[in-house]
Amino acid sequence: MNIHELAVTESILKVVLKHAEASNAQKVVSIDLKVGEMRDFVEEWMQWYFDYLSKGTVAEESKINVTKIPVKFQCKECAENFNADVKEKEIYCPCCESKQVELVSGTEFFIESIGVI
Amino acid sequence: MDPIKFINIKENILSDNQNLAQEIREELHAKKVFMLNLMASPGAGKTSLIIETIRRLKTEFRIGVIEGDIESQVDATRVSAEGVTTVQLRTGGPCHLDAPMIKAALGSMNLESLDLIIIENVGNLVCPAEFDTGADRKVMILSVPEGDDKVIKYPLMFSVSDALVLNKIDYLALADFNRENFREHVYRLNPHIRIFEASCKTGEGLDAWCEWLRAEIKETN
Repeated sequence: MNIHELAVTESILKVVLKHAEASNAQKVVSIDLKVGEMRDFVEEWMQWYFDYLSKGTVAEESKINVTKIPVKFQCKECAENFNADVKEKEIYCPCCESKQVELVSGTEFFIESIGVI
Repeated sequence: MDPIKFINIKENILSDNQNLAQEIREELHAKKVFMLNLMASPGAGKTSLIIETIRRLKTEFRIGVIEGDIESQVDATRVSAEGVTTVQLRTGGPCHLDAPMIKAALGSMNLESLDLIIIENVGNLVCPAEFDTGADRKVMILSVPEGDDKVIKYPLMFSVSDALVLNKIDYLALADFNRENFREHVYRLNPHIRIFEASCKTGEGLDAWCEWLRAEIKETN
């Protein structure tokens, strides 16, 4: 069992239950996550941990949907925004070929919404 | 059957931990204690950097150390030999320290008698990057023998750190480590990071690191 994913899943469940209770939900049916590509997040395990942890709560059997957010850089020379693989050794602006680039997205890690009944 | 209703949350996945971390920060500020979260791979030199930092700053600041270790207390023994308050957290499994663990450690320390607390996080470049501990600054160490490609393999850690100590620069002549490429790769993930080249063995670069830390402590408190 991977304790890192377990800790993250526990945290998701806590946030979800807090919002479910605040809206008097009978049942949580879906959870939408937005996760940047730079996060070390193993999607396959998440549902399994969640099913285990959520037993007996209003979030039992809810389906976790993960939307991955691509890694984007912005060129400091011409302000172009572009997708890039952070694992690439060289990252150039596709527009002006400058190497002066800055990360603008890819580290997101939040719960976008929940579907409740 | 009732229709499904969608509730917008837009809340960080780790918000519980973050809220507690923020409480810790506020409590420490009220007591004028500065906390540093030190993260690195096993063997990069976390304990050595802590010891060298203590030796240079202990006449100016009252220092405490929180040692995170999965099982052993080897590091805590080395650090407490320097005569500073040391708390050992044996995580017994978790790969990182989080705010609840730090809260518990702080509870066993006399905060009135401290100016600086250094957290030695669990040796790992992945998980500690995700969890806010309540520290004022996050600092990572990369050691030259680990290779300049670690910034490509573990980008999140480099993107969240306020400062980076490139340790073991006395190995540069032996290693295939391209400093220019390394700096360029780090700055594209994090243009605000401060990079210090140092060697805990020869002492090179450590004064510059301590000068930065001193200024950050004074600015915060």
